[in-house]
Amino acid sequence: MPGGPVLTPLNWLLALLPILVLILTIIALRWSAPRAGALAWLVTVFLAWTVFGADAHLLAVASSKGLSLTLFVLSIIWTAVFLYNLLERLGAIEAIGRQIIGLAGNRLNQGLLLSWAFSGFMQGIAGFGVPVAVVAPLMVMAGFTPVVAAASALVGHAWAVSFGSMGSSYYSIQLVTKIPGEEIGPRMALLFALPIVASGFAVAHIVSGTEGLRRGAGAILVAGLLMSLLVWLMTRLGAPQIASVVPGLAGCGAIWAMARVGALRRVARPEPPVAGLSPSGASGRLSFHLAFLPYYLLVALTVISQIGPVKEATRGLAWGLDYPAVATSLGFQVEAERAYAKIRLLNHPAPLLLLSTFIAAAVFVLAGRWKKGAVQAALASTYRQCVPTSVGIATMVMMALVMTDAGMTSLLAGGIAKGAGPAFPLLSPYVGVLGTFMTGSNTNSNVMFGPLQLETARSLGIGATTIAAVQSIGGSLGSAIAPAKVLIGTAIVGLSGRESDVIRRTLVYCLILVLLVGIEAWVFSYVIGR
Amino acid sequence: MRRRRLLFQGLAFWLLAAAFPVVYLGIAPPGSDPLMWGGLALLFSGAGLALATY
Repeated sequence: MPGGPVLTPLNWLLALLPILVLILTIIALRWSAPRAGALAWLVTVFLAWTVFGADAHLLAVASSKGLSLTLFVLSIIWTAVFLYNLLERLGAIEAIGRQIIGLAGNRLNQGLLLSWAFSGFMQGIAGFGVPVAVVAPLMVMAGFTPVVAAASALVGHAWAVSFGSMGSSYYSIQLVTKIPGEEIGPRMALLFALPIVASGFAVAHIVSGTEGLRRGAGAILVAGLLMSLLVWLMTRLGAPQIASVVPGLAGCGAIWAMARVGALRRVARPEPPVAGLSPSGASGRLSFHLAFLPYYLLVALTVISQIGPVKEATRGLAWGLDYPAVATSLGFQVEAERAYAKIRLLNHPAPLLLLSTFIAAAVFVLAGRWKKGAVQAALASTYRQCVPTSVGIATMVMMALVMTDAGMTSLLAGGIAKGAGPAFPLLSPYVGVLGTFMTGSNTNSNVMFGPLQLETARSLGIGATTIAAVQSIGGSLGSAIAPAKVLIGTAIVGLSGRESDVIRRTLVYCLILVLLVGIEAWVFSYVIGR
Repeated sequence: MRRRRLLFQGLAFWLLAAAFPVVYLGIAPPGSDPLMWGGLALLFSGAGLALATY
C-alpha cells in the first residue's frame, strides 16, 4: 500500500473540496462544464501542492496523464459526433428515426426501446458515450424534448456499461482485484438484475411519468428479466464481452414483440406528432438499411477485431505514452505507467468509427445518395458541438488524475470505508459512482477504487467478490450523472451549457438505483454471508 | 456572444493541446520514445490550433 496523507477530518474535507466545487458550480450555480472543470482543476492543483505534498513534477505528470486520457476519450466523441452529423446531413438519421419510431409505436415503447434496450446494445459494441451520442438525437427526432432525450439515454444505458465496450470495465475490476472471472462475472450479473429492471422503470418514468410506470410495468418486468438472465448466461458461458450486446438486442426484440401484441398499451389521450417527421418525407426514400449501414459496419468491424488471429496481428498497432513513477512529500507513491491510455488501432472505437464512416460514405456515393458539402457542414457542426465538451472533459479528467496521484482520492475512499463500518456495503456502490463521476469512465473508477474496496471488504470480514462486483455496478450506474457523459448528451442534442438541467434530471434516478445496489450488497454481505 | 464564447473555448482547447507535448517532452521517462510520442502530441496540438482558428 502506498503511504500518503494522514486520514483526519480536516484532510478528508480538503480532499473532498474539489468535488464539492465541481458539484456546487455545475448544479447550484449552473456554470457550464468547461468553466466549472477549470475552477475545480485549479483548486485541486492548489490543494495538492500546498496540503498534500505534490511538487511541480507530480502535477505535470498527473495533468499530462489527464490529457492522455482525454485524447483517448475525445477521439471517440469527435468521431462519433462527426459520423452522426454526416448522417444527419445525408438524411440517414431521419430514416433511422422513422423506422425505429415506427417499430415502437407510442412514446413509452419508443423510450424503452431506444433508451433502455438499444442504448444497451450500443454500449456493448462501442461504449465511451457513443450510446448517448446515438440515442439522444434519435429521441429528439421522435419528438422528445432535448432534456428528456439526454436524461433517458443517460439513465437507460447505465446498466450496460460494466459489460459494455466489449467488457472493458468488467476486465478492469477482474484484473485489479485478481478475482477469477467465473466467480465475479456471475455474481456481478446476479447483482445487476435489480438495477436492470429498475432502470427500465426509471426510463418509463422519465418519458411518460407515473402513467408510464403503470402501463409499462408488465413489459419492463418481462424484458428486464430476460435481459438479466442473458447477462448471467453470457458470464456463465465465459463470454462477458458480449454480456451487454446480446441482452441489449434481446431487449429490443422483446419490447418490439410486446408492442406488437399490445402488452405495452397505448395511451388514451392523443400523443404529440413526431417532430420534423412526416409520413411522406423526402428522406423516406432512403432505406433504413442504407441509413443504418455505418452502424452495421461498426458492429461487423467490432466483431472482426475480436477474432483471435486479427487481434494478434494488430496487437502491436497501439499508441500510448509512458509516464515515470512519482511520489508526494507525504510518501504517497504512484507507479510508472507504460503506454498509458493506450489506443489500439482495432480495439478502440475511434478508428472503427472512422473506418465505418469512410466505407459508408463510399457506399452512399455509389448509391447516388451523397450530398455535396456534407463533409464540410458536418465538420463545422462537430466543431461547434465538441469544443466546449472537449475543454470540459480535459479539465475534469486532469482534476481527477491530480487528485489520484496526490493521494487525495485514496484518502477520500479510505475515509468513507472507515466512517461507514458495517454500513460499508450500503455505501460501497457510491464509491464506484464517485470514480465514474470524476473520470467519466467505469473502467477508471474500477482501477482507482477496486483495490481499496477489496481491502476494505477483507478488513471488515465481508465477501470481497460482492464488494468488488458492487464497485463496478456503482461505477456503471454512475455513468448517468458523470459530467463527461452528460456533456456528450448535451452537446449532441444542442444543450451545451445546460448540463445542470440534465444532471438534475438524472441524479435522483441514479441515487435510487445505486441505493438498491447498496441494499443488495448489504443483504449479500450480512444476511446471505457471501 | 455565443461566437465569442466559442472562440475563448477554442483558444482554451488549443492552449491545453499545445501545453501537452511541451509538458510531456519535459517529463517523459528514460527509455520511452519521446520523439515519436511528442510528435503525435504535436499533431494533436496542431489539430487544436486548426480547430481553434477554424
